[in-house]
Amino acid sequence: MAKLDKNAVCPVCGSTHFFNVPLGSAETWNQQVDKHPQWKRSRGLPENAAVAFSEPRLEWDQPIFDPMPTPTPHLRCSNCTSLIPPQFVVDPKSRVMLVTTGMPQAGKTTWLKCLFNPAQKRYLIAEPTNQIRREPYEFVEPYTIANPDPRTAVPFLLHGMKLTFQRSRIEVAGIDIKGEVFQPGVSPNKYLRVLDILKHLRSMKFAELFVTFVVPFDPTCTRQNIGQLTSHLTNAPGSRGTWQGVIWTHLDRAQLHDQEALFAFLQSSESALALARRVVAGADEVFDSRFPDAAEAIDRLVQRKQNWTNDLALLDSLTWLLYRIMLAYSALPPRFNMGNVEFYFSFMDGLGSLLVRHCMRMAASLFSAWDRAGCGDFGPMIRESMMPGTDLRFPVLPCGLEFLRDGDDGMPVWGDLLLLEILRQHV
Amino acid sequence: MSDFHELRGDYVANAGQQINLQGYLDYFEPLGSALSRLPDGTGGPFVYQFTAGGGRTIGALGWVVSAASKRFGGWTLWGMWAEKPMPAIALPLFWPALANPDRVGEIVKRAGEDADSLFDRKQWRALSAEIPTGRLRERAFREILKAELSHAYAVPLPHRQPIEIELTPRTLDLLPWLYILGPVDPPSAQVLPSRFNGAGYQYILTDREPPPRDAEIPREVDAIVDAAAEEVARGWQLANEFRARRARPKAVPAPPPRERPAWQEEDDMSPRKSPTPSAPEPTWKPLAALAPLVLQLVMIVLLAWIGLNVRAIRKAVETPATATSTIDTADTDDTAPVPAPASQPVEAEKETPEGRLHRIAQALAAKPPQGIRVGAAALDESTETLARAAVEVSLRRNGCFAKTEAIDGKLSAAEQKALRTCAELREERLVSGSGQIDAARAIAWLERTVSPAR
Repeated sequence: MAKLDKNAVCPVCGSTHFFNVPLGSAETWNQQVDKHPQWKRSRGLPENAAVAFSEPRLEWDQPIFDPMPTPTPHLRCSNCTSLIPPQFVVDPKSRVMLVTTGMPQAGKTTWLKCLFNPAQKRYLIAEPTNQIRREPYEFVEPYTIANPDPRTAVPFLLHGMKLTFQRSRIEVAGIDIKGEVFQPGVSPNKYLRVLDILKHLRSMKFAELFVTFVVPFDPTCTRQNIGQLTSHLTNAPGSRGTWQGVIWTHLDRAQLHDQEALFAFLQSSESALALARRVVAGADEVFDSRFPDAAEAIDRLVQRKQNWTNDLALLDSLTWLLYRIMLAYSALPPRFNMGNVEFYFSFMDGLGSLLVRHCMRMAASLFSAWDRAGCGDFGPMIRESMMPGTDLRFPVLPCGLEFLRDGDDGMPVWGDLLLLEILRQHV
Repeated sequence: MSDFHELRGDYVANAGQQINLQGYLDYFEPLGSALSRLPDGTGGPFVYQFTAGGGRTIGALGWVVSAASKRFGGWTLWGMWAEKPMPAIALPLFWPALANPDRVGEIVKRAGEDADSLFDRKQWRALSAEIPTGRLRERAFREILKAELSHAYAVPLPHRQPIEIELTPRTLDLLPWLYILGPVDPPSAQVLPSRFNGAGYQYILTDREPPPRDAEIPREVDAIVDAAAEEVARGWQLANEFRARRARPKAVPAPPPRERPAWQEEDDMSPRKSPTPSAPEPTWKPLAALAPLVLQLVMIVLLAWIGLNVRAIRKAVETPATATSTIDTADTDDTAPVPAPASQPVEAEKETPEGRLHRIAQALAAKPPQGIRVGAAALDESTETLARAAVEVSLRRNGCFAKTEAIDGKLSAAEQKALRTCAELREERLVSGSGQIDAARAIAWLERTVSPAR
């Protein structure tokens, strides 16, 4: 049972009063929510509209609305009756806030699933391991952590997770803002409610704030991107504790168009050219001692080139190169007979973290280039965070989703990168 | 301008769910979400109505299917809408064309042309002749329909929540018949694949054939279905009559005929009673004058007799009650006071254990403790069930569990969790330290709790 901090604030309405509730059936919840119109009102939903569920029988348990005189593990706001995950009301010193947003089909929920559920899959950087323990709060009202998102009219979801690494315990309080909110003409009410949340966020205390924009890789440059929230989030809270970055998903869609054009672009750097040749040839040994030089050369060349609009095929090929390198990384820890975490943190003074950092830098350059080519709206933020002397190591966290296509059995490639950033910032 | 308009909704890549009824997506979202786990293209009909902000009522009729190939949880729907509830006859009338998205234009056009008849109940009889009854003439189909209708009619009134029906895509044809012949008055019923609060039918699509229901088919249902197969209007009329009969408040069992005063009975039984009603009144007048006196005398005698009997009964009851209490105490080492069994009515002396359980279950169902709901259908009057029900009641009375959750004689995972942490429950010693229910004590506690004296 979470100890209530005296300054606890409801992120939805800003109220400071809460009450305990018991678990009941989802069916009961569904009946009771109509008697608490403020729940829908505070989400910009019409009071007469039902809530969408993907399970038609509503057979699972979830916290209902009955006030309980005795303490329970579940808390509701007295004003808007939102279920508040315990991570929102605990001591702010151990709490990080995580705001995620992105347009529909950006891969946001898939990525969040990776964050919530302890992964047992390949292609992750820090998993599988028992050194990092994740205990999610089971309920993401009105759903559960196991089923967080049927296509829904609810504009935001509150979730929580306790992260334990070595002796450190971090409470991650998350707000998942749905992409549908930003669709033109859908419901201005929902957008306003999201702005309310951001306003309340400014009055909340926390150790760190992570603002992640989930942006899908789109070589066709036809997708809408999410820039509307930038102004609200970049300036406030805007303290040193704010991390802003892009989760760049769907990198598995990148393609190699013309390998000769790729080699020609990299020919001014011998190490970069050799790296590209190894990757294109499908060699087992992608990494060598000159990898840092090669990565820096690619970064430099991408930044130096102007007018990417006319060379989108080349940019696509470079993104393909990045993704192949990410996949090659996952083969290294088993080759050295060690776990992913050890390889990342401790093997040869953190060889893994060094390789990952170079890939991050390359990803940021490529993302910025796509942005300059007219396929994004976060270029300035990324370029700013890449300025010399900037502390932000990971402005762009690349991620592939190809292993999820046949269901939920896989995990996104490098989908756990943010976890490492949270640990780095907080531990 | 026609009353009916075309309704289309689809999942648009990278943009999200869309619907052509601008501003009302939130109302339609739940319909399709319920089909998330079904294969692409699987779905069924909907008869839906809602009152949006500003008091505008929208009625919609159509078909919604999963669009899983586009996006998990995405859906596609088609049909028609109007600024008033859909006429009840529309679902069976347009049923053959409803599942085909290419025929929506045809449906809307025809509905527009027949709008006057559709919205005028008096003309439904004529329209109902156009409802195809092909499947209803199949014996097997009728049997399934009767079973489903019996199941639906078995749900007690009032229908504030939808009646759940499990169907396969092949048995969807039952829906229009359930809708017009079922227990909910069709004009106020909704038919949706998603959960909703209100009257109507929620169908749950499954790919496996549900086990055949062995419920007894009421003769009314039998007659309704057979009549509908002959003539839809006749079946519908019978269904209306049956619904009206069910809705009528149940006749309260007539109180036993008031005992007429002895003198009057004597008069009735008197062989001297005049065979003709026009017996001369003056003859009876002196006797009538004496009646109050006789009545008082009879009452005094009766009271004395009752007093003697009560004394004898009390003597007889006191002895076994004391004996039971002693056994309970001896069974436990604890010195805490043991709950004494409730004082039994006179008949309890002869009561069998089954009878006692039956009585307690009946009392719980008829008059549960304040604020607690009981799912009477779930209580099977066995010792275990009632003991669990007692624990459920105790959890709710002591604030360890939500009162709004109905008592069903089963302990859900959440209740078991509450059972482990509820201090009051242990104080009442209904549950041992290891979490085992003390059935005898729990039932005795429940008996006291639901006994009328409380």
